[in-house]
Amino acid sequence: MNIKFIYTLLMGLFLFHTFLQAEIHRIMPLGDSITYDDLRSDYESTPRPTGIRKAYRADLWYMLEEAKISVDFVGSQVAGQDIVPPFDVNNEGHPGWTSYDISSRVYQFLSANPADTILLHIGTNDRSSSVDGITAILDDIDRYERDSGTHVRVLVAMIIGRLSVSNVVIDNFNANLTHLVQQRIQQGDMLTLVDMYQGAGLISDDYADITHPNASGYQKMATLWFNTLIQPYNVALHSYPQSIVSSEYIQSVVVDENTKLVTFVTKVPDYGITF
Amino acid sequence: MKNILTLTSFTLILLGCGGGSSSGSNKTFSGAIVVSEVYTVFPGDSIVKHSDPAIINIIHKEGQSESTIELIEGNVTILRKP
Repeated sequence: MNIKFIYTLLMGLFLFHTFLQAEIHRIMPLGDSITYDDLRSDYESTPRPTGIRKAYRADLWYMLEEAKISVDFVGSQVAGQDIVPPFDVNNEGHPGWTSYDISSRVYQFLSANPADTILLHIGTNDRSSSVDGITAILDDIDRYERDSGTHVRVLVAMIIGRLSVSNVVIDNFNANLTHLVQQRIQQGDMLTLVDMYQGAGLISDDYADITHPNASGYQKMATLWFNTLIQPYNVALHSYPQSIVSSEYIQSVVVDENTKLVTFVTKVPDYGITF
Repeated sequence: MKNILTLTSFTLILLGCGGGSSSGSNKTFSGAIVVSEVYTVFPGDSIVKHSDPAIINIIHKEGQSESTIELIEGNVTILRKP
């Protein structure tokens, strides 16, 4: 009787452990050619097959796999299916797209392929220092979260520079992006700024052309995405303020991952606040 | 004896009708709150504003159902369902 009880208990624990291990984190790589893997030469001569396009996605997948973090890359695009070892090839990388193009579709992307986390690298094709397109993307992600009752964390990358051209526009774009992300974090948005511009450490040898990284450049990008993803991030705490009051009323949010406390200052809306 | 019973009943009625106290972290509090005092709120409680703006600070710990609030500016009331 006792042995049977212990066996049942152990089996239960084993199944519970397996269930926890099986929890899969859905990640949407979202952006342009730097997410999909397009080169200038793909337009000047015979384009490379889609099966070998991997950008940073393959290296990131391998890093997550080695760290035993179960993920599911999601998106309507498929690129990299011939790469060995295989990786999850789904993504939302759209060569040539601007941030405004992404903003007009991001709600549909998430509706079709729900994600827990988005890796956003967009703005290179904007050729402008304005981040209005990024604002529109984040607004629509917020709208999706409200409509679906889910929370989506967005890792917003400062975009990588270009070679042999002035990076003044990208400098200004990234400065504006930093300000925007910090402001929205203050209002309770689940955003993390990723310094892909300086923090990834890309140098001229890491580029295949003036805009797109080569294999070593993409590996550096993958490393920074990975290092950011594995940092502690308590979704329950970060999402709490916006679960009881709309972001437009929130003035500041501070999350302490160690004490598991969220402290925030908010205006009380006309309709009040219900806990 | 009758007087004692009457007095006891009256006292009990008074206690039963007692409104909220203004002391911070009082779990039975329900009413207007004052600036810089800390109050505990529970699931189902509502904050209603009586001024514009009305600004509060909210502290929440993961895993706990209650939160604490502190009025920074304006006038608000905590409404607690019985």
